[in-house]
Amino acid sequence: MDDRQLWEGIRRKDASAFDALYRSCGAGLLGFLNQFLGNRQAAEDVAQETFAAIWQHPNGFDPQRGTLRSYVFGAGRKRAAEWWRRQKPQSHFTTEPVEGCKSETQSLIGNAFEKLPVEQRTLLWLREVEGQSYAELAEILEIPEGTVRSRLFAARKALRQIWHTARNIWEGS
Amino acid sequence: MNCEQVEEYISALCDGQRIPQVAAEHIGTCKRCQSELSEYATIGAELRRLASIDEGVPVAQVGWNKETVRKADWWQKGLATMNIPRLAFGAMLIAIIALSSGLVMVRARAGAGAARFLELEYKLPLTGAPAICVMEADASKNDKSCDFVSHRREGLFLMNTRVIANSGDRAELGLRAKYIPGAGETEVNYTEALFKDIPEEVLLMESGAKQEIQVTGLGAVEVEAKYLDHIPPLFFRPQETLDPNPKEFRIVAPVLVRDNEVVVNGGDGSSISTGSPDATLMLYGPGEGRYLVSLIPFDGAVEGSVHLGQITFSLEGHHYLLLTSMPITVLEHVWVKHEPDFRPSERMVRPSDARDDRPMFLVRSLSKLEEQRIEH
Repeated sequence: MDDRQLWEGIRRKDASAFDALYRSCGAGLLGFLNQFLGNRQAAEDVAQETFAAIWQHPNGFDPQRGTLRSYVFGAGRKRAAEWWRRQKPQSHFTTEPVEGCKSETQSLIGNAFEKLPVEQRTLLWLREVEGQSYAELAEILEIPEGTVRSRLFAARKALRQIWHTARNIWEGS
Repeated sequence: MNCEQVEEYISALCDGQRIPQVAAEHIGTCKRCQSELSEYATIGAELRRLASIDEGVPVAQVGWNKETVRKADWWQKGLATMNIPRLAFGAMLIAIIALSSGLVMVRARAGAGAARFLELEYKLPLTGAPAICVMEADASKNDKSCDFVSHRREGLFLMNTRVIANSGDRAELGLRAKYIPGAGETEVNYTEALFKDIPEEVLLMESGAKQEIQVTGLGAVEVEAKYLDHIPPLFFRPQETLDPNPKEFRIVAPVLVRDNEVVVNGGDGSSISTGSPDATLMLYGPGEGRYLVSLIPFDGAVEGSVHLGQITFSLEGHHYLLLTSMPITVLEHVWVKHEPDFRPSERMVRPSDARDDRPMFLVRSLSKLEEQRIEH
Protein backbone atom coordinates (compact mmCIF):
# COMPACT_ATOMS: atom_id res chain seq x y z
CA MET A 1 0.00 0.00 0.00
CA ASP A 2 1.64 3.24 -1.11
CA ASP A 3 1.36 6.59 0.65
CA ARG A 4 -1.58 7.76 -1.43
CA GLN A 5 -3.62 4.60 -0.76
CA LEU A 6 -2.71 4.70 2.92
CA TRP A 7 -3.78 8.31 3.19
CA GLU A 8 -7.06 7.71 1.39
CA GLY A 9 -7.77 4.91 3.87
CA ILE A 10 -7.05 7.22 6.79
CA ARG A 11 -9.32 9.85 5.31
CA ARG A 12 -12.08 7.23 5.14
CA LYS A 13 -11.46 6.53 8.85
CA ASP A 14 -10.14 3.08 8.03
CA ALA A 15 -8.59 1.94 11.32
CA SER A 16 -6.39 -0.65 9.64
CA ALA A 17 -4.84 1.99 7.39
CA PHE A 18 -4.13 4.21 10.33
CA ASP A 19 -2.74 1.29 12.30
CA ALA A 20 -0.33 0.62 9.43
CA LEU A 21 0.82 4.22 9.54
CA TYR A 22 1.27 4.07 13.29
CA ARG A 23 3.29 0.88 13.10
CA SER A 24 5.54 2.22 10.36
CA CYS A 25 6.15 5.67 11.85
CA GLY A 26 5.26 5.44 15.54
CA ALA A 27 8.55 4.22 16.93
CA GLY A 28 10.61 6.47 14.68
CA LEU A 29 8.55 9.52 15.56
CA LEU A 30 8.84 8.70 19.25
CA GLY A 31 12.63 8.40 19.01
CA PHE A 32 12.86 11.66 17.10
CA LEU A 33 10.61 13.46 19.56
CA ASN A 34 12.61 11.99 22.44
CA GLN A 35 15.69 13.67 21.01
CA PHE A 36 13.82 16.86 20.25
CA LEU A 37 12.16 17.16 23.64
CA GLY A 38 14.72 15.38 25.81
CA ASN A 39 11.96 13.74 27.77
CA ARG A 40 10.45 10.33 27.14
CA GLN A 41 7.05 11.08 28.67
CA ALA A 42 6.70 14.34 26.81
CA ALA A 43 7.76 12.60 23.61
CA GLU A 44 5.07 9.96 24.08
CA ASP A 45 2.46 12.65 24.74
CA VAL A 46 3.41 14.67 21.69
CA ALA A 47 3.57 11.57 19.50
CA GLN A 48 0.13 10.59 20.74
CA GLU A 49 -1.19 14.09 20.04
CA THR A 50 0.31 14.03 16.58
CA PHE A 51 -1.31 10.76 15.60
CA ALA A 52 -4.59 11.72 17.23
CA ALA A 53 -4.67 14.97 15.26
CA ILE A 54 -3.98 13.14 12.01
CA TRP A 55 -6.73 10.61 12.82
CA GLN A 56 -9.28 13.30 13.70
CA HIS A 57 -8.41 15.77 10.94
CA PRO A 58 -6.67 13.96 8.07
CA ASN A 59 -6.40 16.88 5.73
CA GLY A 60 -2.80 18.13 5.60
CA PHE A 61 -0.89 15.60 3.52
CA ASP A 62 -0.05 16.32 -0.12
CA PRO A 63 1.60 13.38 -1.91
CA GLN A 64 3.08 15.80 -4.43
CA ARG A 65 5.18 17.45 -1.75
CA GLY A 66 6.75 14.47 -0.04
CA THR A 67 6.28 11.15 1.68
CA LEU A 68 3.68 10.37 4.30
CA ARG A 69 6.47 9.55 6.73
CA SER A 70 8.05 12.99 6.35
CA TYR A 71 4.62 14.53 6.73
CA VAL A 72 4.12 12.71 10.03
CA PHE A 73 7.56 13.71 11.28
CA GLY A 74 6.95 17.30 10.20
CA ALA A 75 3.63 17.35 12.06
CA GLY A 76 5.37 15.88 15.10
CA ARG A 77 8.12 18.48 14.94
CA LYS A 78 5.60 21.30 14.89
CA ARG A 79 3.75 19.88 17.87
CA ALA A 80 7.03 19.42 19.69
CA ALA A 81 7.90 23.05 18.96
CA GLU A 82 4.54 24.05 20.44
CA TRP A 83 5.30 21.89 23.46
CA TRP A 84 8.56 23.78 23.95
CA ARG A 85 6.77 27.10 23.75
CA ARG A 86 4.31 25.99 26.41
CA GLN A 87 7.07 25.06 28.82
CA LYS A 88 8.14 27.52 31.48
CA PRO A 89 11.87 28.24 31.56
CA GLN A 90 12.33 26.51 34.91
CA SER A 91 10.69 23.33 33.71
CA HIS A 92 13.33 22.67 31.08
CA PHE A 93 13.90 18.93 30.91
CA THR A 94 17.35 17.48 30.81
CA THR A 95 18.04 14.68 28.41
CA GLU A 96 17.60 11.36 30.04
CA PRO A 97 20.64 9.09 29.85
CA VAL A 98 20.32 6.24 27.43
CA GLU A 99 20.72 2.94 29.18
CA GLY A 100 22.71 0.10 27.66
CA CYS A 101 26.08 -1.50 27.35
CA LYS A 102 28.63 1.17 26.46
CA SER A 103 32.24 0.96 25.50
CA GLU A 104 34.33 4.03 26.21
CA THR A 105 34.16 5.31 22.62
CA GLN A 106 30.51 4.62 22.29
CA SER A 107 29.52 6.29 25.55
CA LEU A 108 31.64 9.33 24.67
CA ILE A 109 29.81 9.74 21.37
CA GLY A 110 26.48 9.32 23.14
CA ASN A 111 27.38 11.92 25.73
CA ALA A 112 28.68 14.30 23.06
CA PHE A 113 25.46 13.86 21.12
CA GLU A 114 23.42 14.85 24.17
CA LYS A 115 25.44 18.04 24.46
CA LEU A 116 24.51 19.21 20.97
CA PRO A 117 21.91 21.94 20.55
CA VAL A 118 18.47 20.46 20.07
CA GLU A 119 18.25 21.53 16.43
CA GLN A 120 21.51 19.78 15.52
CA ARG A 121 20.62 16.76 17.62
CA THR A 122 17.27 16.22 15.98
CA LEU A 123 18.65 16.83 12.50
CA LEU A 124 21.38 14.26 13.00
CA TRP A 125 18.92 11.84 14.50
CA LEU A 126 16.52 12.13 11.61
CA ARG A 127 19.34 11.61 9.13
CA GLU A 128 21.41 8.94 10.82
CA VAL A 129 18.77 6.98 12.66
CA GLU A 130 15.62 7.52 10.67
CA GLY A 131 17.45 7.64 7.37
CA GLN A 132 15.48 10.63 6.12
CA SER A 133 16.68 11.95 2.76
CA TYR A 134 17.65 15.55 2.20
CA ALA A 135 14.31 16.15 0.51
CA GLU A 136 12.42 14.68 3.42
CA LEU A 137 14.45 16.62 5.94
CA ALA A 138 13.80 19.79 3.97
CA GLU A 139 10.05 19.13 4.19
CA ILE A 140 10.08 18.16 7.85
CA LEU A 141 12.18 21.12 8.95
CA GLU A 142 10.82 23.48 6.31
CA ILE A 143 14.23 24.54 5.07
CA PRO A 144 15.92 24.29 1.62
CA GLU A 145 17.82 21.10 0.76
CA GLY A 146 21.11 23.00 0.48
CA THR A 147 20.63 24.20 4.02
CA VAL A 148 20.01 20.61 5.10
CA ARG A 149 23.43 19.60 3.80
CA SER A 150 25.28 22.50 5.42
CA ARG A 151 23.47 22.04 8.72
CA LEU A 152 24.22 18.34 8.76
CA PHE A 153 27.87 19.09 8.22
CA ALA A 154 27.81 21.66 11.02
CA ALA A 155 26.13 19.18 13.35
CA ARG A 156 28.60 16.41 12.60
CA LYS A 157 31.53 18.78 13.01
CA ALA A 158 30.21 20.03 16.34
CA LEU A 159 29.59 16.52 17.58
CA ARG A 160 33.05 15.43 16.50
CA GLN A 161 34.69 18.33 18.30
CA ILE A 162 32.80 17.61 21.54
CA TRP A 163 33.65 13.98 21.21
CA HIS A 164 37.39 14.73 20.68
CA THR A 165 37.47 17.09 23.62
CA ALA A 166 35.85 14.48 25.86
CA ARG A 167 38.20 11.81 24.59
CA ASN A 168 41.27 13.97 25.31
CA ILE A 169 40.01 14.58 28.84
CA TRP A 170 39.31 10.86 29.25
CA GLU A 171 42.75 9.87 27.99
CA GLY A 172 44.44 12.55 30.10
CA SER A 173 42.81 11.24 33.25
CA MET B 1 41.48 21.65 -2.78
CA ASN B 2 42.52 21.53 0.85
CA CYS B 3 40.98 19.78 3.85
CA GLU B 4 38.89 22.75 4.91
CA GLN B 5 37.35 23.05 1.47
CA VAL B 6 36.24 19.43 1.31
CA GLU B 7 34.94 19.15 4.88
CA GLU B 8 31.31 19.61 3.89
CA TYR B 9 31.69 17.01 1.11
CA ILE B 10 32.90 14.47 3.65
CA SER B 11 29.67 14.96 5.51
CA ALA B 12 27.73 14.70 2.26
CA LEU B 13 29.47 11.40 1.46
CA CYS B 14 28.12 10.00 4.71
CA ASP B 15 24.64 10.85 3.47
CA GLY B 16 25.05 8.97 0.23
CA GLN B 17 25.48 12.11 -1.84
CA ARG B 18 27.65 12.45 -4.95
CA ILE B 19 30.50 14.98 -4.58
CA PRO B 20 32.73 16.89 -7.03
CA GLN B 21 35.62 14.96 -8.55
CA VAL B 22 38.37 17.16 -7.10
CA ALA B 23 36.91 16.78 -3.62
CA ALA B 24 36.68 13.01 -4.05
CA GLU B 25 40.31 12.86 -5.24
CA HIS B 26 41.50 14.88 -2.23
CA ILE B 27 39.64 12.69 0.24
CA GLY B 28 41.09 9.58 -1.42
CA THR B 29 44.63 10.77 -0.83
CA CYS B 30 44.27 12.67 2.48
CA LYS B 31 44.60 10.60 5.63
CA ARG B 32 43.12 13.38 7.75
CA CYS B 33 40.00 13.57 5.64
CA GLN B 34 39.68 9.79 5.56
CA SER B 35 39.94 9.78 9.33
CA GLU B 36 37.18 12.36 9.47
CA LEU B 37 35.01 10.27 7.16
CA SER B 38 35.61 7.27 9.31
CA GLU B 39 34.68 9.16 12.45
CA TYR B 40 31.48 10.46 10.87
CA ALA B 41 30.59 6.91 9.95
CA THR B 42 31.34 5.82 13.50
CA ILE B 43 29.11 8.57 14.83
CA GLY B 44 26.24 7.47 12.60
CA ALA B 45 26.65 3.87 13.60
CA GLU B 46 26.75 4.76 17.27
CA LEU B 47 23.62 6.87 17.02
CA ARG B 48 21.77 4.03 15.31
CA ARG B 49 22.96 1.65 17.99
CA LEU B 50 21.71 3.92 20.71
CA ALA B 51 18.40 4.23 18.88
CA SER B 52 18.17 0.45 18.68
CA ILE B 53 18.51 0.28 22.45
CA ASP B 54 15.87 2.89 22.81
CA GLU B 55 13.51 0.98 20.55
CA GLY B 56 13.57 -1.79 23.15
CA VAL B 57 11.18 0.34 25.14
CA PRO B 58 7.75 -0.66 23.87
CA VAL B 59 5.67 1.97 22.16
CA ALA B 60 2.25 2.31 23.64
CA GLN B 61 -0.31 0.32 21.71
CA VAL B 62 -3.21 2.41 20.68
CA GLY B 63 -6.47 1.26 19.18
CA TRP B 64 -7.69 3.27 16.22
CA ASN B 65 -11.06 1.67 15.83
CA LYS B 66 -13.68 3.65 14.04
CA GLU B 67 -16.21 4.62 16.62
CA THR B 68 -19.85 4.88 15.86
CA VAL B 69 -20.79 8.14 17.46
CA ARG B 70 -24.22 7.98 18.98
CA LYS B 71 -25.88 11.31 19.00
CA ALA B 72 -26.65 12.32 22.55
CA ASP B 73 -29.95 14.05 22.95
CA TRP B 74 -29.98 17.61 24.20
CA TRP B 75 -31.22 16.55 27.61
CA GLN B 76 -28.19 14.29 28.08
CA LYS B 77 -25.88 16.99 26.81
CA GLY B 78 -27.40 19.42 29.21
CA LEU B 79 -26.82 17.15 32.18
CA ALA B 80 -23.27 16.30 31.20
CA THR B 81 -20.37 18.15 32.80
CA MET B 82 -17.70 20.03 30.93
CA ASN B 83 -14.33 21.53 31.71
CA ILE B 84 -13.89 25.23 31.34
CA PRO B 85 -10.71 27.22 32.00
CA ARG B 86 -10.88 29.51 35.01
CA LEU B 87 -10.08 32.52 32.84
CA ALA B 88 -12.98 31.70 30.53
CA PHE B 89 -15.29 31.16 33.49
CA GLY B 90 -14.27 34.49 35.00
CA ALA B 91 -14.75 36.25 31.67
CA MET B 92 -18.18 34.65 31.38
CA LEU B 93 -19.19 35.90 34.82
CA ILE B 94 -17.98 39.41 34.02
CA ALA B 95 -19.87 39.35 30.72
CA ILE B 96 -23.07 38.19 32.44
CA ILE B 97 -22.80 40.89 35.08
CA ALA B 98 -22.02 43.56 32.52
CA LEU B 99 -24.87 42.52 30.24
CA SER B 100 -27.40 42.21 33.04
CA SER B 101 -26.40 45.54 34.55
CA GLY B 102 -26.69 47.02 31.07
CA LEU B 103 -30.24 45.69 30.83
CA VAL B 104 -31.04 47.12 34.23
CA MET B 105 -29.64 50.47 33.10
CA VAL B 106 -31.69 50.37 29.92
CA ARG B 107 -34.83 49.46 31.86
CA ALA B 108 -34.11 52.11 34.45
CA ARG B 109 -33.61 54.71 31.76
CA ALA B 110 -36.75 53.67 29.92
CA GLY B 111 -38.71 53.67 33.14
CA ALA B 112 -37.33 57.01 34.20
CA GLY B 113 -38.05 58.40 30.76
CA ALA B 114 -41.65 57.15 30.81
CA ALA B 115 -42.22 58.90 34.10
CA ARG B 116 -40.84 62.20 32.88
CA PHE B 117 -43.36 63.46 30.35
CA LEU B 118 -47.02 62.95 29.74
CA GLU B 119 -48.60 63.74 26.42
CA LEU B 120 -52.27 64.68 26.68
CA GLU B 121 -54.50 64.83 23.65
CA TYR B 122 -57.90 66.47 23.88
CA LYS B 123 -60.57 66.10 21.23
CA LEU B 124 -63.21 68.78 21.41
CA PRO B 125 -66.74 68.23 20.14
CA LEU B 126 -66.74 71.63 18.50
CA THR B 127 -64.08 70.82 15.94
CA GLY B 128 -63.05 67.20 16.45
CA ALA B 129 -59.50 68.38 15.91
CA PRO B 130 -57.04 67.27 18.57
CA ALA B 131 -55.26 69.68 20.84
CA ILE B 132 -52.09 68.37 22.35
CA CYS B 133 -49.93 69.42 25.22
CA VAL B 134 -47.03 67.81 27.02
CA MET B 135 -46.15 68.22 30.66
CA GLU B 136 -43.86 66.68 33.20
CA ALA B 137 -45.41 63.55 34.67
CA ASP B 138 -43.71 63.91 38.03
CA ALA B 139 -46.32 65.34 40.39
CA SER B 140 -43.61 66.92 42.53
CA LYS B 141 -42.34 69.09 39.67
CA ASN B 142 -43.55 72.64 39.25
CA ASP B 143 -44.30 72.32 35.58
CA LYS B 144 -46.99 69.72 36.08
CA SER B 145 -50.08 71.45 34.72
CA CYS B 146 -51.34 72.00 31.24
CA ASP B 147 -53.58 74.92 30.43
CA PHE B 148 -55.57 74.81 27.28
CA VAL B 149 -57.76 77.60 25.94
CA SER B 150 -59.71 77.35 22.75
CA HIS B 151 -61.06 80.52 21.27
CA ARG B 152 -63.92 79.85 18.93
CA ARG B 153 -66.59 82.05 17.56
CA GLU B 154 -69.13 79.86 19.31
CA GLY B 155 -67.56 80.21 22.68
CA LEU B 156 -64.49 79.91 24.88
CA PHE B 157 -63.23 76.56 26.14
CA LEU B 158 -60.92 76.44 29.12
CA MET B 159 -59.08 73.34 30.23
CA ASN B 160 -56.57 72.87 33.02
CA THR B 161 -54.94 69.52 33.72
CA ARG B 162 -52.57 68.70 36.54
CA VAL B 163 -50.81 65.55 37.67
CA ILE B 164 -51.98 64.56 41.14
CA ALA B 165 -49.98 61.35 41.35
CA ASN B 166 -47.93 59.16 39.10
CA SER B 167 -47.05 55.49 39.40
CA GLY B 168 -45.35 53.55 36.63
CA ASP B 169 -47.48 53.97 33.54
CA ARG B 170 -50.56 55.19 35.42
CA ALA B 171 -51.32 58.76 36.29
CA GLU B 172 -53.95 60.37 38.45
CA LEU B 173 -55.01 63.53 36.69
CA GLY B 174 -57.07 66.43 37.93
CA LEU B 175 -58.99 68.19 35.16
CA ARG B 176 -60.88 71.43 35.25
CA ALA B 177 -62.87 72.26 32.13
CA LYS B 178 -65.34 75.01 31.38
CA TYR B 179 -67.14 76.18 28.29
CA ILE B 180 -68.45 79.73 28.06
CA PRO B 181 -70.85 80.08 25.11
CA GLY B 182 -70.62 83.34 23.21
CA ALA B 183 -67.32 84.29 24.81
CA GLY B 184 -65.04 83.33 21.94
CA GLU B 185 -63.57 86.81 21.72
CA THR B 186 -63.10 87.12 25.46
CA GLU B 187 -59.57 87.92 26.47
CA VAL B 188 -58.15 85.39 28.89
CA ASN B 189 -55.27 85.76 31.28
CA TYR B 190 -53.41 82.52 31.85
CA THR B 191 -53.46 82.45 35.60
CA GLU B 192 -54.41 79.77 38.07
CA ALA B 193 -57.20 82.01 39.25
CA LEU B 194 -58.87 81.49 35.91
CA PHE B 195 -59.65 77.86 36.88
CA LYS B 196 -60.12 78.37 40.56
CA ASP B 197 -63.90 78.26 40.56
CA ILE B 198 -64.13 75.26 38.22
CA PRO B 199 -64.66 71.93 40.02
CA GLU B 200 -61.89 69.41 39.47
CA GLU B 201 -62.63 66.00 38.00
CA VAL B 202 -60.18 63.22 38.78
CA LEU B 203 -59.25 60.64 36.14
CA LEU B 204 -57.04 57.61 36.50
CA MET B 205 -55.30 57.35 33.17
CA GLU B 206 -53.18 54.54 31.82
CA SER B 207 -50.83 55.15 28.94
CA GLY B 208 -52.69 54.79 25.66
CA ALA B 209 -56.14 54.68 27.31
CA LYS B 210 -58.91 57.15 26.41
CA GLN B 211 -61.49 58.66 28.72
CA GLU B 212 -64.15 61.31 28.41
CA ILE B 213 -65.16 64.16 30.59
CA GLN B 214 -68.49 65.91 30.28
CA VAL B 215 -68.33 69.68 29.92
CA THR B 216 -71.53 71.60 30.49
CA GLY B 217 -72.75 73.32 27.34
CA LEU B 218 -70.18 71.61 25.19
CA GLY B 219 -70.50 67.85 25.55
CA ALA B 220 -67.94 65.07 25.87
CA VAL B 221 -64.25 65.92 25.58
CA GLU B 222 -62.07 62.91 24.88
CA VAL B 223 -58.78 62.77 26.75
CA GLU B 224 -55.94 60.42 25.88
CA ALA B 225 -52.71 60.17 27.84
CA LYS B 226 -49.40 58.78 26.60
CA TYR B 227 -46.08 58.55 28.37
CA LEU B 228 -43.04 59.85 26.56
CA ASP B 229 -39.49 58.68 27.30
CA HIS B 230 -37.95 61.80 25.78
CA ILE B 231 -38.35 65.55 25.85
CA PRO B 232 -40.26 66.53 22.71
CA PRO B 233 -38.84 69.42 20.70
CA LEU B 234 -42.21 71.21 20.86
CA PHE B 235 -44.54 70.64 23.78
CA PHE B 236 -47.67 71.23 21.72
CA ARG B 237 -46.48 69.07 18.83
CA PRO B 238 -44.81 66.02 20.40
CA GLN B 239 -44.27 64.21 17.12
CA GLU B 240 -42.28 67.11 15.69
CA THR B 241 -38.65 66.49 14.83
CA LEU B 242 -35.85 68.98 15.28
CA ASP B 243 -35.38 69.61 11.59
CA PRO B 244 -38.06 71.84 10.02
CA ASN B 245 -40.18 70.71 7.11
CA PRO B 246 -39.54 72.54 3.80
CA LYS B 247 -42.50 74.87 4.29
CA GLU B 248 -42.13 75.45 8.00
CA PHE B 249 -40.98 78.61 9.70
CA ARG B 250 -40.47 77.88 13.38
CA ILE B 251 -39.64 80.30 16.11
CA VAL B 252 -39.14 78.83 19.57
CA ALA B 253 -37.86 80.84 22.54
CA PRO B 254 -36.31 83.67 20.49
CA VAL B 255 -33.62 85.94 21.86
CA LEU B 256 -32.39 88.94 19.87
CA VAL B 257 -28.84 90.11 20.50
CA ARG B 258 -27.56 93.43 19.15
CA ASP B 259 -23.80 93.56 19.13
CA ASN B 260 -23.19 92.01 22.58
CA GLU B 261 -26.42 93.05 24.24
CA VAL B 262 -29.71 91.18 24.56
CA VAL B 263 -32.38 93.52 23.36
CA VAL B 264 -35.42 91.21 23.26
CA ASN B 265 -35.99 87.95 25.15
CA GLY B 266 -39.17 86.42 23.83
CA GLY B 267 -39.53 83.79 26.55
CA ASP B 268 -40.02 80.05 26.14
CA GLY B 269 -43.05 80.02 23.86
CA SER B 270 -43.26 78.94 20.28
CA SER B 271 -44.95 80.11 17.12
CA ILE B 272 -44.92 78.17 13.90
CA SER B 273 -46.10 78.60 10.35
CA THR B 274 -46.49 75.34 8.45
CA GLY B 275 -47.22 76.50 4.92
CA SER B 276 -47.41 80.24 4.40
CA PRO B 277 -44.88 81.26 1.73
CA ASP B 278 -44.55 84.71 3.28
CA ALA B 279 -44.36 83.52 6.87
CA THR B 280 -42.94 86.26 9.03
CA LEU B 281 -41.84 86.62 12.61
CA MET B 282 -42.90 89.66 14.51
CA LEU B 283 -40.70 90.13 17.55
CA TYR B 284 -41.55 93.00 19.85
CA GLY B 285 -39.53 94.31 22.76
CA PRO B 286 -40.39 97.23 25.05
CA GLY B 287 -38.47 100.30 23.88
CA GLU B 288 -37.26 98.42 20.81
CA GLY B 289 -40.32 98.41 18.65
CA ARG B 290 -40.76 95.39 16.46
CA TYR B 291 -38.56 93.38 14.14
CA LEU B 292 -40.14 91.66 11.16
CA VAL B 293 -38.21 88.62 9.93
CA SER B 294 -39.74 87.24 6.74
CA LEU B 295 -39.08 84.37 4.37
CA ILE B 296 -39.60 86.71 1.42
CA PRO B 297 -38.03 90.07 0.51
CA PHE B 298 -40.15 93.13 1.20
CA ASP B 299 -39.79 96.91 1.18
CA GLY B 300 -37.20 98.32 3.54
CA ALA B 301 -35.90 94.88 4.59
CA VAL B 302 -32.26 93.77 4.64
CA GLU B 303 -31.06 90.29 3.95
CA GLY B 304 -30.08 88.02 6.80
CA SER B 305 -28.42 84.60 6.89
CA VAL B 306 -29.90 81.52 8.49
CA HIS B 307 -27.89 78.74 10.07
CA LEU B 308 -29.81 76.17 12.11
CA GLY B 309 -31.28 78.11 15.03
CA GLN B 310 -29.48 81.37 14.31
CA ILE B 311 -30.19 84.33 12.05
CA THR B 312 -27.55 87.01 11.59
CA PHE B 313 -28.05 90.35 9.95
CA SER B 314 -26.69 93.90 9.98
CA LEU B 315 -29.02 96.80 10.45
CA GLU B 316 -28.56 100.47 11.20
CA GLY B 317 -24.84 99.97 11.75
CA HIS B 318 -25.30 97.16 14.24
CA HIS B 319 -24.71 93.46 14.05
CA TYR B 320 -27.69 91.37 15.12
CA LEU B 321 -27.98 87.75 16.14
CA LEU B 322 -31.38 86.13 16.54
CA LEU B 323 -31.12 82.91 18.53
CA THR B 324 -33.84 80.29 18.78
CA SER B 325 -33.86 76.91 20.50
CA MET B 326 -34.29 74.87 17.33
CA PRO B 327 -33.65 75.11 13.59
CA ILE B 328 -35.80 77.81 12.01
CA THR B 329 -36.18 77.02 8.32
CA VAL B 330 -34.58 75.06 5.54
CA LEU B 331 -34.04 78.33 3.65
CA GLU B 332 -30.65 80.03 3.87
CA HIS B 333 -31.82 83.64 3.81
CA VAL B 334 -34.50 85.81 5.40
CA TRP B 335 -35.32 89.50 5.18
CA VAL B 336 -35.42 91.72 8.22
CA LYS B 337 -36.91 95.12 8.94
CA HIS B 338 -36.85 97.13 12.14
CA GLU B 339 -39.80 99.33 13.07
CA PRO B 340 -38.74 101.13 16.27
CA ASP B 341 -41.99 103.06 16.56
CA PHE B 342 -44.25 100.02 16.64
CA ARG B 343 -46.53 99.83 19.68
CA PRO B 344 -48.73 96.78 20.27
CA SER B 345 -51.30 98.89 22.01
CA GLU B 346 -51.83 100.76 18.75
CA ARG B 347 -51.95 97.83 16.35
CA MET B 348 -52.89 94.58 18.11
CA VAL B 349 -56.62 93.79 18.29
CA ARG B 350 -56.53 91.20 21.07
CA PRO B 351 -56.06 92.91 24.40
CA SER B 352 -53.64 90.29 25.71
CA ASP B 353 -51.31 91.14 22.82
CA ALA B 354 -51.86 94.88 23.03
CA ARG B 355 -49.41 95.48 25.87
CA ASP B 356 -46.38 97.62 25.31
CA ASP B 357 -44.64 96.64 28.53
CA ARG B 358 -43.69 93.06 27.78
CA PRO B 359 -41.95 91.17 24.96
CA MET B 360 -44.12 89.36 22.49
CA PHE B 361 -43.63 87.37 19.34
CA LEU B 362 -45.72 85.52 16.81
CA VAL B 363 -45.41 84.10 13.31
CA ARG B 364 -48.04 85.03 10.77
CA SER B 365 -48.14 85.95 7.10
CA LEU B 366 -46.37 89.17 6.19
CA SER B 367 -49.54 90.68 4.74
CA LYS B 368 -51.41 90.12 8.01
CA LEU B 369 -48.63 91.61 10.11
CA GLU B 370 -48.50 94.70 7.88
CA GLU B 371 -52.17 95.40 8.39
CA GLN B 372 -52.94 98.43 10.43
CA ARG B 373 -55.02 96.39 12.85
CA ILE B 374 -53.47 93.01 13.47
CA GLU B 375 -55.95 90.36 14.37
CA HIS B 376 -54.94 86.75 14.95
